[in-house]
Amino acid sequence: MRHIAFAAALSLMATATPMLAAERILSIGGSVTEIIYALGGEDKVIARDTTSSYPVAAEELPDVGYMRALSPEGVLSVNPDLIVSEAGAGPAETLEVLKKAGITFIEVPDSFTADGILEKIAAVGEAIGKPAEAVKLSAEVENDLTSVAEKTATIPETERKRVLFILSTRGGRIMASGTNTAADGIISLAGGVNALTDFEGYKLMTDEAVSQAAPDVILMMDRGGDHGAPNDELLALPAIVTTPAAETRSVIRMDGLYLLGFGPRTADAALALAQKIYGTF
Amino acid sequence: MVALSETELPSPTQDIKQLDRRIIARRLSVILMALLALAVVVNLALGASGTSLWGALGKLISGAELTTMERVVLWDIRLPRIILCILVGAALAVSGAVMQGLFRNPLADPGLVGVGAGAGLGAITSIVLGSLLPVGFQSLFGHYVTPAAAFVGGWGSTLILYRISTRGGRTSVATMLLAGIALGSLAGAVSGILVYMADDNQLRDLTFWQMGSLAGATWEKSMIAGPVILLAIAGSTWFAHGLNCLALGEAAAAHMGIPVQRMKNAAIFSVAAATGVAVAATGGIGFVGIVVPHVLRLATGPDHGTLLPNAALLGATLLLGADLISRTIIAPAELPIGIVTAVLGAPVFLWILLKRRGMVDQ
Amino acid sequence: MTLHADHLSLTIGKKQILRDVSFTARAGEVSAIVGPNGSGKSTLLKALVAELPSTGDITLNGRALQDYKPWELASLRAVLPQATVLAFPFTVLEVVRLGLAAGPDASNPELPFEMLSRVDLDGYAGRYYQELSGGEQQRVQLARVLAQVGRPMRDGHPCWLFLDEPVSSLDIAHQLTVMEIARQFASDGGGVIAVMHDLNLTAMYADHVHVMAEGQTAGAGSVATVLTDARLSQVYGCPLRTGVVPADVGVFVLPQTARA
Repeated sequence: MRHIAFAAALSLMATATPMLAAERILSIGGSVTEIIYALGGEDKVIARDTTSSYPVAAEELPDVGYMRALSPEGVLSVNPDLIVSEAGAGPAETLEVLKKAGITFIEVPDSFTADGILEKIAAVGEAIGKPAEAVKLSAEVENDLTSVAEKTATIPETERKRVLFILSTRGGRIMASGTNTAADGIISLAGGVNALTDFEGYKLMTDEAVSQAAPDVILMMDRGGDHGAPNDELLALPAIVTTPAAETRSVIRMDGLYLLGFGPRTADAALALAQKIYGTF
Repeated sequence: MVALSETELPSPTQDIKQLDRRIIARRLSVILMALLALAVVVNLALGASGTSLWGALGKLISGAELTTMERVVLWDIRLPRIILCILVGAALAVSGAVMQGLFRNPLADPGLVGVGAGAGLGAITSIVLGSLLPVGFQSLFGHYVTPAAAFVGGWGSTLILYRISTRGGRTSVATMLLAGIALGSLAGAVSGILVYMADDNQLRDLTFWQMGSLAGATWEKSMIAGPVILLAIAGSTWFAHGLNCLALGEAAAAHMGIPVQRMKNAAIFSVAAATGVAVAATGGIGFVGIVVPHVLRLATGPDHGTLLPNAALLGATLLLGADLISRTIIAPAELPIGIVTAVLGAPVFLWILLKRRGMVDQ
Repeated sequence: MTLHADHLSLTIGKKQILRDVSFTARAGEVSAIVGPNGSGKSTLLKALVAELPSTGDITLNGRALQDYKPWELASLRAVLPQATVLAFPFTVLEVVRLGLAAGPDASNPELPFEMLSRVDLDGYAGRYYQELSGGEQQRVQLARVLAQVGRPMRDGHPCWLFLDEPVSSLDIAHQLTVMEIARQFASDGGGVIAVMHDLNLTAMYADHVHVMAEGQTAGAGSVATVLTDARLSQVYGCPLRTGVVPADVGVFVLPQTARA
């Protein structure tokens, strides 16, 4: 419900409000921050959320915390006049208070497709008053995405690899991606086939379901802690040891934001992933 | 002063007033009230945004307009949060003390023995399945559904726990703790199933809620939680004497004119109500319910007549302190308050265990 | 005025503990319940105070027990349990005050000190209950009971003390102290019902003795009529004789000698 409201607010803003007014922008969500920097809007950005770790310069900015658990006073303390956010910022009570304080809050649409990225760029461009730059960036990104799509289109159906994205292996239990996720999106952009398609979102899997998914390749985020179990340990998990991926020791690790951000670098990321999966291009 | 002989005591003649911990407890109440008032002022004055309370007060007195920022920060952010803090802190501490009196054991705590988990299950159920309710009902009673469900969950688990761990008026500590673990995991498991069923939106609500935070404090939440918690605390003074007598055993309490069964029902009901709405408002916040009563018992003795009101005061003050840490230590971001209370409370709890190992082994 | 129980039976689980026991105690008397281990003495006392549910009718001062409100009973009778484990670190004074608050003299702040003095615990008020010896704890509990129902008569009605083995963990001097308190309470018009192990003390202080054996009454009446060689030998299962000084047994000490 909230999303629709914000989307509506967004379209209203886009036409009615001259967005040039925004001088102090709080950027929430890694991809939004990346887009703002790519559009050359970084001089207006005064704070970010925890997920905004690229470009490196963004990490210098004050961090208002995790986007789903924003503290109202924390946000007010950086004194923004505009908040641009990926979908899913919260909690609702915080957003309510920010609205009362007269801060414009714009939530940009999120969908994990090539078109979704272009829409996102356009929305961020409108929000920060750089529509022309957005059109330019959008064209470049579209160009890159098309070229990746053309390359991956050459892979014959029969040679497409089944890719299993694993979010975490905490306690030996595998949390993997189904459909309608950034992971699902990037796998298909890279010409792979998601090995798990019978549910939406990220879920904890039973070992047998993982075996049955029979992935050719395992994809993970390149991070410390429980997100990055060493390969030997990972491939020895009962759920995985029987899969083709374990046989060929095919584990791909990539930076989380790069891989799943669905921002300006996604075409790059898709290409890099395709190269890692198929070894060519 | 009657019959206080000087001969048998290791200490010299004692004045009645020194013997009477009720007097010390009443003095402590005054100190705690002052501390609470101080904590309120500090919490109102400090925060990430640097908005000045004094500046705003000055304007109010001189009749000048407050800025939007001042109004929002003080009136919409800090004040409702302070009130919710006081309510929840008092509810957790008093519930802990009542539960300990009821189970005749200083280790019983709603959070530790699965009552919090039961309330949590109720809350999660209402978040995930709430969308199945008719839309008209949701818009009218939407804000009450989660607290009510949390209450039912908390009540159910307290009743089950009491039935399992108490026999003939004596509570087996080991059984209580084990049953609490089992209840907690059961509630956790069912919660897990519900989380699995949740859609993305609900999942977001759940994640936030499970972390235990006061960042979502609103006037509305205080208005819902306030009456229930205040009634539960006021009600608990009614059975304070009963809980004291219960310390001698159920039979002894009955012979002292306590309607034991009725009192136990009332106590369980009030614990569940206070814990339920507190958990619904802020998620799980641990250790307040065990540390506050324990510290007070050390200071002024186990008399529930003074323990319960003092626990309310100290619990509120402690949670205000924890919240101040939570919202300033990594500002502008915020540390979930559950983490702060756990860091402060868990060592104290371990220390209690260390000193009272015999109690658990019984 | 009496405590009267008619045809009490009591079953716990599948085991019948009391079988058709009728019991009468008069105000102004010390009534003792005696009998071997497992004969149902304590159970009978618990049935008489409705701590355990039994079948049969119990009247106190001529009124059915179930017709009293809990607080009415609390000001009319007090019950001393065998042993009390306290859940929290109360001081002696606080324990005695719990009894005070439950009785009709709640407004008298000096009473706990008087009662502690009567059980020979002067100066113990500030000590922690849990740190006392078993015998001291037992006397604290008696003081608590006396603070609740300290006066033998109230508004012309007798009050009652129910004591479950009140002297079991006391030394002989304190046994006598406690029995004297019971004796005095009865002499002043109150009723005392005590479960007793010590037959000598029973013989010294009881006006009325009720002998239990295997859940049934094995005799009731005055000390002289009930504590007979035959009955005691049969009930306790060993040859016993009353009032006989055995020859050549060396040293023996009777509590009776303290009174003489």
